[in-house]
Amino acid sequence: MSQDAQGLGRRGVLAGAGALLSATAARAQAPAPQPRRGGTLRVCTYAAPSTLDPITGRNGTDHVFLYPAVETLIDFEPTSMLARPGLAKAWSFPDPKTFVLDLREGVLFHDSTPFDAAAVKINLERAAGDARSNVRTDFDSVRSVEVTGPSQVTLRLSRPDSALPLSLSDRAGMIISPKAIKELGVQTDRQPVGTGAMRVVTYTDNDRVVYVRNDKYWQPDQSYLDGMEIRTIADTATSLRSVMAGENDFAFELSPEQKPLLDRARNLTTVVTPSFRLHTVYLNYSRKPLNDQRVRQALNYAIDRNALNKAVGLGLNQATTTELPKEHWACDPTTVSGYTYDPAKAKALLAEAGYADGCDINFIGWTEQRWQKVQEILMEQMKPAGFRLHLSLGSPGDTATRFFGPGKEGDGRVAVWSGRPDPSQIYRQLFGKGSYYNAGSGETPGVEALLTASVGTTDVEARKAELSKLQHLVLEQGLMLPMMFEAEIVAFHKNVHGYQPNLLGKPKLHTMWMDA
Amino acid sequence: MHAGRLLAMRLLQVVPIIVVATFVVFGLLHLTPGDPAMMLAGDNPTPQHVAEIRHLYGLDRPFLDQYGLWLWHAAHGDLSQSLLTRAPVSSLILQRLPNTLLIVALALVLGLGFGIPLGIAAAVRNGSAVDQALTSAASLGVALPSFWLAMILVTVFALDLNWFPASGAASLLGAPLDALRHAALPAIALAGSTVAEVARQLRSALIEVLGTQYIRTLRAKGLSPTRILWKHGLKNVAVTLLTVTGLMVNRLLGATVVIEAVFAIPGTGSLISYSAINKDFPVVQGVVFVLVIGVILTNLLVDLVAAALDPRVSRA
Repeated sequence: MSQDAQGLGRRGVLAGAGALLSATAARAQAPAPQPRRGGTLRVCTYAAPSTLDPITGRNGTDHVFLYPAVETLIDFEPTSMLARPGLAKAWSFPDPKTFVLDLREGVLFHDSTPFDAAAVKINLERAAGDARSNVRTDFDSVRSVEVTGPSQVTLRLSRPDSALPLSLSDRAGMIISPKAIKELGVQTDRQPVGTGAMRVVTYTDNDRVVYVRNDKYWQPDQSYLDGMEIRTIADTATSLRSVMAGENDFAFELSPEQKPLLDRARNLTTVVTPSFRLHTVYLNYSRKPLNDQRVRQALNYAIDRNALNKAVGLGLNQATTTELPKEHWACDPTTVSGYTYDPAKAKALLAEAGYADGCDINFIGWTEQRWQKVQEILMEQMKPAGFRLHLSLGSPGDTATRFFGPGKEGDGRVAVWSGRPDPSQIYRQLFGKGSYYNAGSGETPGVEALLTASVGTTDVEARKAELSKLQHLVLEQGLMLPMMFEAEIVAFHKNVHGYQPNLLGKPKLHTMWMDA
Repeated sequence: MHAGRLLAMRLLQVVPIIVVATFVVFGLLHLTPGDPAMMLAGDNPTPQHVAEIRHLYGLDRPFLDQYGLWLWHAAHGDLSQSLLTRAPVSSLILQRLPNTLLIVALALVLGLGFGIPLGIAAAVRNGSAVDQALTSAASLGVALPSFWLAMILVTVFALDLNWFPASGAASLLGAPLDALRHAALPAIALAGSTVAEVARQLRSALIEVLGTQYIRTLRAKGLSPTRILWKHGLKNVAVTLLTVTGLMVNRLLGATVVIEAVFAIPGTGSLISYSAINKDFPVVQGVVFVLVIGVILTNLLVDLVAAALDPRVSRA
């Protein structure tokens, strides 16, 4: 029988607010299976890792492959995304421009070399400065990294940056063995020698990554599996079939269209939870017609997000008008429904902006069938408001190059934003002046000041207040066309336990266990 | 023309064919939208970082320089490294080619094993109900999309009956039986249209041969129909059958792109589609290079066998 969130019953689909908490509660009520050591978990996912070196990787889908082998300096609470200790047992900002990390002792890399302050310094400097590093912008505020004790590292900053702890819970904070970096060179792309519960033994391109248990793991009571195997199966239908046939144990990032099939699969458990993956339209507001706030607001009023969710997400996704899911610690709930579907209001705003006869607008979208459906619905929904939407299609990589690259093609790009651990990172990357994802690269009055304020304090409540102002500013300006947060749909066999969903939508699978 | 001379001429044609094929593919990859440097630069890249990546991977060099360099290395046995994963292209191909060749070979065996008897049955009963039924079934078989057939096969034989695996592949050397079990459904899905094509071609060729004057003379002389068919009929359509087989091998190699996706088989078909989407030029070039050589060798083998079967071919 299919279950939602492990035991809530097949009809109670958990999607949207409270899903993660409900999942945890449901587990508490059910007789909890006791963790046991042993077994090899076979997982399948649609994307191959771009690389297995944390700093040269390119895709948000890499994390699932990295987490078992490579740990981060700082971790995050799966349900709220608040920072918690990782390889660093504590951290502090003795002054706004100094960030101190106190590291765990007695931790070893897979090659038996010690994890210490010197290793962290080498990793952070590599991430901040290596020509092949794709996380250099995460270190914009870091002036230097100093070893201030055998297990202490101090980062000197050029400006206050309280986004750093959560930045270090992502690729930027993933630590691999300096010995391996030196010996392997560019081949670190294929052999991540971290401190994680699993070590990589085989990486076959576009096929699978095979892991075995790391017997020297510093948290032996948190690691149960003897091994893991993550297979790449590009087609999610094939992926699900392989789980149903018993060839794999766990599949994730399944599509809502597969939910009815999952409901009929008696041998599988299905969990549906919210995720950070935002279906959105990036806008280029540096030129006509979207340089007019009223046109951007009209766009936001012109789409019916709930209808879209029902049509393409079977109601499992979370309709939204903001960039943070409701469950996120920094989300201001008043921004979640900032625009309701109102074509008359949209039409009036367009007329006010000088487009009484309607407005031609060009979006770039994806060729995949599911996305074509989204784009066709958008086209129809926007007609009554007076928008004449013209679409040009391509692959995700191609449309990114066309829209964000030097050509700056189109007024909008229909795509997914995969989120970042720290909310200030999200807003800086999406709307900061000169940022890649700000297609027009221009500055929106007030955004830079609020971005600076949001990282100028380490107090969570004070940060929330600044981030709330930022969310409202972005909402009122209509700088983006958020549509819905994608539901994370996973399916696994009944003998698999311990799945902990996280809001980032990138599960840490090595903490699971299996029945005999 | 002697077989040796035929072989020499065909080998001489290999070089320009490889150059043209790889040049066209290289050109098409450059013409398609998307910038590999942007893809390699990851999230939130700055223009400087993209420029650095472009320089680091030699993507800022002129098109002809890039192609020339690749060809030079390829001629020396070095197919370069994947832009995306840094894996040597030759090892990527070697890892995957056996999986592809196994399903192609199995599909060909099935295609010929069923297609030849069906083609003969239809030809010797030309115009009968059996012929009409087989001809209609063959037309349907040709039109049947292999991916659709594949999904039906998976649903019935993998998920419902659990007779065969639904996905993946196994090593033919390490676990031969398991490898054959994994290859069975993909091969059957691929073989559907091969059976139909072989049956159709063989039927029409055989009808033509069986209608010739010398066959009529043989009948008039009292030779049994079985002897006429096996000794004279099939011998005369052998070259046609051989040509069709050669074409089928090439078609099956192409069809693996879709079938490997449906069955999640790590083969060259899935490798080339993934690499083309992600603009991994060296991998696409490497696979095309190997496949072009494979197709040329297949055609060469067909020509040589045809020359052995029919002396007129080598005299032409």
